Amino acid sequence: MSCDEIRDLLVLYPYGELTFDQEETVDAHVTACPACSKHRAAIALLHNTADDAAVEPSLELLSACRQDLRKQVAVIAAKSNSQPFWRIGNLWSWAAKPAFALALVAVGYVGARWNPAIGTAVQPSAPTVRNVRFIEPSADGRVRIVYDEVNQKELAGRVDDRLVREMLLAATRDPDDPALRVDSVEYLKTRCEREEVRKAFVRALESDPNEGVRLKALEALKPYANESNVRTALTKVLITDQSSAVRTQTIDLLVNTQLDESELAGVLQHMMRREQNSYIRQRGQTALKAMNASLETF
Amino acid sequence: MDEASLIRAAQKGDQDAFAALVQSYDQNVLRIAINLLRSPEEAKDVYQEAFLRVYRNLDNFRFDCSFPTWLYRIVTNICLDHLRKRKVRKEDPAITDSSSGEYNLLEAVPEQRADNDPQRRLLSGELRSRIERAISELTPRERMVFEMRHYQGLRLRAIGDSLGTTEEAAKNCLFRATQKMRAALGDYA
Repeated sequence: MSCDEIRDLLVLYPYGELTFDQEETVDAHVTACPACSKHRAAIALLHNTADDAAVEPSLELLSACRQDLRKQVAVIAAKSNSQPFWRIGNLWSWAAKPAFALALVAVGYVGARWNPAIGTAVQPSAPTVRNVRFIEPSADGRVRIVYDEVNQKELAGRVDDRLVREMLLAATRDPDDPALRVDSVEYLKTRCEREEVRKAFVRALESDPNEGVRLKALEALKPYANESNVRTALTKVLITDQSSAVRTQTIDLLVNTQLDESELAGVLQHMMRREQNSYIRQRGQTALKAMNASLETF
Repeated sequence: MDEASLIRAAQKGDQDAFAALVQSYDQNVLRIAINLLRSPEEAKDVYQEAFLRVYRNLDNFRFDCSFPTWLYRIVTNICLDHLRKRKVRKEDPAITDSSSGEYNLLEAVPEQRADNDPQRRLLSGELRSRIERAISELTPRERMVFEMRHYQGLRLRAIGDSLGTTEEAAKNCLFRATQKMRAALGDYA
């Protein structure tokens, strides 16, 4: 195979688009050909540089996109005649007459749930079928089905309202949607003086699988770095978190907070034994030197 | 619920099923859009337009191809439209003006704090800016193929399907894109 042909294959090689035989041919050629070997190094450099230049959309942007889409879909659904009657906005069609009656019932229901004392409204919407549990055919050709029903509701109110706060706290634990968790931390951070909020943030900081959520929780906890449980979480995160961004923020916070020196020295020395990130190591070294402590425990 | 069941439920008007479908792919869609267009605002527009198109046309989806292939076809068409319009409107600078709300890529990508060597940082910044400029000078199609192959990890065959072309044509686009970027590295490579 000529060098030109090999160089074409080198473009596809890193992407796993070559057959086993093609890869073997390329490997054998490149080992013996300095020019193609240089070309392979250039492709590798190109890939690394392109990787560095990649932009990851922020969770805030994702969350904003989802919210806008939800609104627009709701508008389209309301306009669509093909929607189930309880979602139709057109009250003049004959089919919507029962819906109008239902809507009146719903208004009464919402009215009954409206709590003027806290200004929070809970709005029910149509039930949705989730999880069919049981199906039983009968002799007359009918089928008996047992299913769970989920009711979607809307809650509007201030973060100070207990119900709103509880829902937001529950959202910080949502297993499926990191954007929802980021949003809930964002809304709750103004109420960080509440112990239940701080506990939720500490849990998020210690165990949320998403780096963005952990960073958000860390940011919210900054004014409380002197609190015992927050401090414990910070020291744990500094040693164990997989994300260097989280560890970087954590060491900055720990070093800038007036902590008990002996406690901080112990943590930093423990960290120095395993930390690979040069910035974090440098911060640790500087802090330890300032405390006249040895760099590591022996 | 598996994907086919979700699609069928969404086709019958189940909004939760549609939301679940969106959430399975929307991070990837946003990533494609933001990397291609380098503008959060435009990426948001692409996101909205793509999923609204999916919502409106879901009834017409007949499982002739996989759902992601269909979705990416929609997304790539919208992104290509944006890139073409931009090409007509103005030259697409590699480093955009942050006052217009677009990313200054060099600022947007966080510095690797582990790498504190100023010389290495300068070199890596220079390389990145060269690659960025080269990417911005690719044709919309070349840019799309490189994005989908390099960043999204899609196979060339799937990229061909998404762009309504052949695997071979997608491969040729990738060759051209790589050659142009390789040339942009100049003395560094």
